[in-house]
Amino acid sequence: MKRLSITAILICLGLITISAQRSAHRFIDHFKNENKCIAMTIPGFLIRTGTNFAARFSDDEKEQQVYKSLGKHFKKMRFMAIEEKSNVTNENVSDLVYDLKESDHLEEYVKVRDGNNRVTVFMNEKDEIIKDLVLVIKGEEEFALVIFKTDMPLDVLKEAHFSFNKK
Amino acid sequence: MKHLLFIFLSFVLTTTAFSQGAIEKYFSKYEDDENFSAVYVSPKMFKMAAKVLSEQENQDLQDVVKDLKGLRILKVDDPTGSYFKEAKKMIPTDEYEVLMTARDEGQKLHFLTKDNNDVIEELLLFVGGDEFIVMSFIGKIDLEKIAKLAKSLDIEGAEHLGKLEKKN
Repeated sequence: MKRLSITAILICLGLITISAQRSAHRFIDHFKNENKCIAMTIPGFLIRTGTNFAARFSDDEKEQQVYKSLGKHFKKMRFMAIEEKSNVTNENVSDLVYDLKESDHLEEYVKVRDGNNRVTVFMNEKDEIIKDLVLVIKGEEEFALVIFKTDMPLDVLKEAHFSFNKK
Repeated sequence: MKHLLFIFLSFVLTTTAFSQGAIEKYFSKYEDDENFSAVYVSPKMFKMAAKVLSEQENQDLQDVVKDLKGLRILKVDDPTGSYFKEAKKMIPTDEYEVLMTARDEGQKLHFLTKDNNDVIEELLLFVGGDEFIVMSFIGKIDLEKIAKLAKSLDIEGAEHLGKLEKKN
């Protein structure tokens, strides 16, 4: 009985984790077998390894720390990129954007569109911690969808010294 | 007396909601139109940006971002001036105070504001000419700081905001 309860709890936790990004995962599952499509899931430990490796290339000790602390807060990343003549239509993207907002309750933070090129950033933030980050990028012929599962406190981003200045 | 106050308040609230709705409607109409370039920055993004902006960042920029609640920009080629005319018809500009109008190298610039107790809560910029730009800032707006923001940000059309500095 105890084992059953633990299994049920684990399944529930898993469902909660993916529920905020369900539409994005479904979208990748639908298009991942297209021609010239790359779809990949990178677990958190691999992202950490990557950021730790990148930190080695920096001479600045502060920058090394930033890389390391950023890496620590990524739990999972999944992305799909389609090059050349993707079958992802503007309608598909509009539907995805609608589902991310309405079904997955992600919030649209930034939206930039220039002609057929469009970038939309979705986030789910709770108590100053970014839980979900989804990027939808649609070019003339290319398409990319990036999904991050994180527990990134805003303080860590502040440490990273992000700047909006032109320079 | 109570009744009168209630009617007056209802009128003010309805008018405010109507003008906000008209702007929303205008942006919604064109934000997915491929002829237009569009930018939308949500209130949450500004809130987050204010938190994560580094201390090294310009203090003015931090102050502006902290008080902003939303930004929308639309830009389109408009050689006949039809979009400019349509926007002026659709958006109830008479509910705004004209802060400044200017003509500069064939471009018409209109800066409109809406304030509450001397605090500017909305800044609307129309640029007409070969291209039409409409820009809407919502939040607590300090014109001088917005003008400085124009220098810092790499957003098309933001350079027109620099003219606010000259006005001040």
